[in-house]
Amino acid sequence: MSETAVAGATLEAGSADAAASPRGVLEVNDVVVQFDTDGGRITAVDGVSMHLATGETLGLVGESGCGKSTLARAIMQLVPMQQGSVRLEDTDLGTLSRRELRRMRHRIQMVFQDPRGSLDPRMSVSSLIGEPLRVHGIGDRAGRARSVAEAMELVGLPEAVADRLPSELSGGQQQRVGIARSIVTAPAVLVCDEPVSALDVSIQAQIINVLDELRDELDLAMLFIAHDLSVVRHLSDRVAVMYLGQIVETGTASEVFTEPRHPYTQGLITSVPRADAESAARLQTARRLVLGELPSLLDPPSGCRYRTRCPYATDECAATEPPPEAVDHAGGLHWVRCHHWRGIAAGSAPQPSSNSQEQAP
Amino acid sequence: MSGMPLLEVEDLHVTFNTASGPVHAVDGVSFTMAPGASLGVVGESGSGKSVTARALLRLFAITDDARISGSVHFDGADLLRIDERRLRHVRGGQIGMIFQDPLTSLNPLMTVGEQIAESLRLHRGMGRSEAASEAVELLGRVGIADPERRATELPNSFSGGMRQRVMISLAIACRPRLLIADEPTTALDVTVQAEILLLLDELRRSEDMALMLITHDFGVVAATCEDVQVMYAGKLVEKASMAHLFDRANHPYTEGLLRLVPRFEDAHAGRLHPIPGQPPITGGGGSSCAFAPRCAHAFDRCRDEVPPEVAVGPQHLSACWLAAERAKDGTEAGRPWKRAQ
Amino acid sequence: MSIVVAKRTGEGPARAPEHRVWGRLIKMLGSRGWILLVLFLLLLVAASIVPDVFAPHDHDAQNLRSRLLGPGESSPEGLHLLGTDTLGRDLFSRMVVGTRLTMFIAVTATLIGAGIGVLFGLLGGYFGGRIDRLLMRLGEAQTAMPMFLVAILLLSLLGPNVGILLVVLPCLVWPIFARVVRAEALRLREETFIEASVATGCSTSTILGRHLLPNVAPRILVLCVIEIGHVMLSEAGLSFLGVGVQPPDTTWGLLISEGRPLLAVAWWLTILPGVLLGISVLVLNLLGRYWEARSGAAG
Repeated sequence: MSETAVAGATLEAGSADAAASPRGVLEVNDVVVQFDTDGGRITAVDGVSMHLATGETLGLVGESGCGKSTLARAIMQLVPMQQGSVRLEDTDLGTLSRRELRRMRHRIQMVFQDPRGSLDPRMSVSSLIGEPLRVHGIGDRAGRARSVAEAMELVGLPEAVADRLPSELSGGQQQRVGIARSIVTAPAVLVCDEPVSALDVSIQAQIINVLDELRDELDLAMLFIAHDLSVVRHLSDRVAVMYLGQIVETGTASEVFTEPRHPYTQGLITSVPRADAESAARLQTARRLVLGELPSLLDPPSGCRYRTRCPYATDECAATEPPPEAVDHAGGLHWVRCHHWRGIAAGSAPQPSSNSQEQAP
Repeated sequence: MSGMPLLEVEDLHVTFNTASGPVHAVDGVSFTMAPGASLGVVGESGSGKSVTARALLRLFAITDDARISGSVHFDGADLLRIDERRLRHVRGGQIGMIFQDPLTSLNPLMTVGEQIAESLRLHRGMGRSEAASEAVELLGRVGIADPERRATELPNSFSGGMRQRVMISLAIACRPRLLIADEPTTALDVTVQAEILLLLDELRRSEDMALMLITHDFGVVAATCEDVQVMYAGKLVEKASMAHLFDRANHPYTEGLLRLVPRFEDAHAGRLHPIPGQPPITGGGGSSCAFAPRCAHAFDRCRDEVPPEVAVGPQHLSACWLAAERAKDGTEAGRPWKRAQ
Repeated sequence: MSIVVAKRTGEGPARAPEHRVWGRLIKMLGSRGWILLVLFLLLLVAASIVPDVFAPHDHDAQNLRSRLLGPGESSPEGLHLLGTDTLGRDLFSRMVVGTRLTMFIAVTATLIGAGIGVLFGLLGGYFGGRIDRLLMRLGEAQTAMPMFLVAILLLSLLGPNVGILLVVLPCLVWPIFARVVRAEALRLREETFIEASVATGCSTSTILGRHLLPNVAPRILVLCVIEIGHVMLSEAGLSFLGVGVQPPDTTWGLLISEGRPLLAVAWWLTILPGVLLGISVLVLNLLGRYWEARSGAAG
């Protein structure tokens, strides 16, 4: 975990572009979240560091169970952290009293996956959107009404729905309400946890556009969590790939997606089915990059977390945890946690043996 | 079309009587599948793609209050007209089916091996021990490691991807001639999805069975299917071979669906292009092109008459008035509305 | 996809026989039967507000010459619809006048009980842990004790009066409210919208008052209606045993009690107030369960 702290420090150093706010508007440092389950204690988030600058979108990808939603909740201070810190605009959220934390919340807001479940079924659209303003005592009655109307317009909700209940709206409209509610207090940071994955494809595009426009218009720092790589690539400036509670690769979206260094990132990217003629062949390649099944968090592999599924794994991978290493050409933003990434990139890594292929079910 | 088709669906209609009036979920769908063929059915929620698949096997609850008409010829028999007993033999026998959520289709209190063996004894008349060993073999064939041990476990102890494998082994246990997969990978992670899609493709080839895959994702179809048909408001709006459709989509709705999702290979490329409006909730059944209200290229005729299916290329049909008019004029039939822009 | 939800699912999964009886009664009411129930309730409410409009005679006017007249018999003062008692007072008028106190005690005691129960239920359900265990044990302990006997003991020690009744009767009903509200709060606590409210910055009191309470309110209302009937019965029981309401105040329970010694000679003095009490409790129960069934089907 100490290595991750190093990575966090270097990552900060890397973002020289965020000159106005050199430390970034959101800084997550070495966060560890553990849960007690029936089977024992699991570490859902294991030493994650990241930072976000104003107007920037960081995409967080990973498969179910990798800890990305838990990380989002830790950042939102909705689940307790065992270690690490979350700094929002230079305030360490972990050190605040409950009351102080509540007062800070209008600066960091969240959009949830389940649009219907995240709205109180007995409140009208306008009172749902106005609630954050009310609880934070922002503006007078008339001012709040104006802000609500503005937020509704920003997310593309017609005035006519203001008095309706969530159950009377379509899924897309419900998610628009969720988004309007989260931006009405003009937060600095917006955390989106799988905001489109519960929606129908045609609605997904609309909601993605709404988020895209808002980010530009309101200069939001956005943490965008999704398992759909195409969506993440479309929206994100930078990307972090998570596996078993750790970030295994991070960098600008174009670098990570065009030149992925970590075998897991490579496997994820090749697994995305694309509508072209090479689709089936690509999936064959993907199968050779991600072997077997996700190990249990109750008994995570020693050393490199990915080694049990990695075709390039060696004894070294089992023995020591790979430290984050900078991928030199990328101006310091592209980091990867893999002992063999240079060899893999150069084609000189121990090649996937036929043995390990047969292991794959 | 060479040889006898395996499945021949003609003028299939499914109407649900709901509290708010009839819903024409499937509205005159006709298609054929040859033995061993692979067909992807693509559309949004409510386009009628799942209902079509269920109608083939009359898989509706009485409470659904569904009316089905048309004909579904499978292997010489009309599935809509045979009696319930024979239909039960077809279900899970000659036609296998897998769904999005495998957990709800498995009995949580029976071991996986027992469930497969039960189906084998029922449909293939196997003895107890023969069925048990065949079940283990099937689990191995769908890529489950250590099948002897896993056969004795309950469905709960399997991960999402493994459960879908179990469902597939159950579906292919009776060597079906046709496997219907309804959004089989929608609930799964991408790497698991990739494995399941490859497995379906391999099984189709090795078991010589036809595959009908229902999905909203053209990428999934591209990986597994040779042919594709697009549904909208209960109607087939475009049919083509997948290879042909990549860059020659004809129907504006197909084009819209293809442009809808961010394509992975395009980096941040401006805003997406959602199709404006919503699909009709009452399904089809109107006297116009159901897509006309959302179509940027609609003209008067689209709002007055239902468009016919016209050939716009080799084995490529499109139900669009623009295509029809161009075809009649003898002008080039490619993507007529592209020029009209 | 477009799988149509079953329109008539009956009463859902197998229920206790008691529920089936209510279910059948509710079905008998049909879609408009509840209007009758509401009308009956409105009559009771009207009778408690303006008894003089309904009572044909002065309820306290004694007339020794027209003692123990049967229902339908007349005296010089006029027709006694439901007969008269040993002092010649008109039974119907006395029942009308008794409505006020009967209703007042039942409604007030239920509301007090509901208030306590809802508060405890919300706190226990939302916070869980130690608070929850403490509150629920309290409720259980109370349910385990024969509260009715405790009530009798208390009332006979402190001397019967309406004030003490309003302390004792709520104790009988609050655990019921607490249980129902706690179960609902436990369920709602897991909903995303509660998490979303925390993330938005709502304080705990806002979450309890603005998000949890409105979402359990429909169930509380239904329960109130049913429990008013039960409290009515309890009050009648206490009054019947002589530890409840005392003359010259009157409630239906007291009327039943006063008529009891004369059951053999003047059955109407006991039976008729009893029937009215029974019908009222039934109507309240049916109405509550009817609303419950309807809102359950809609939500």
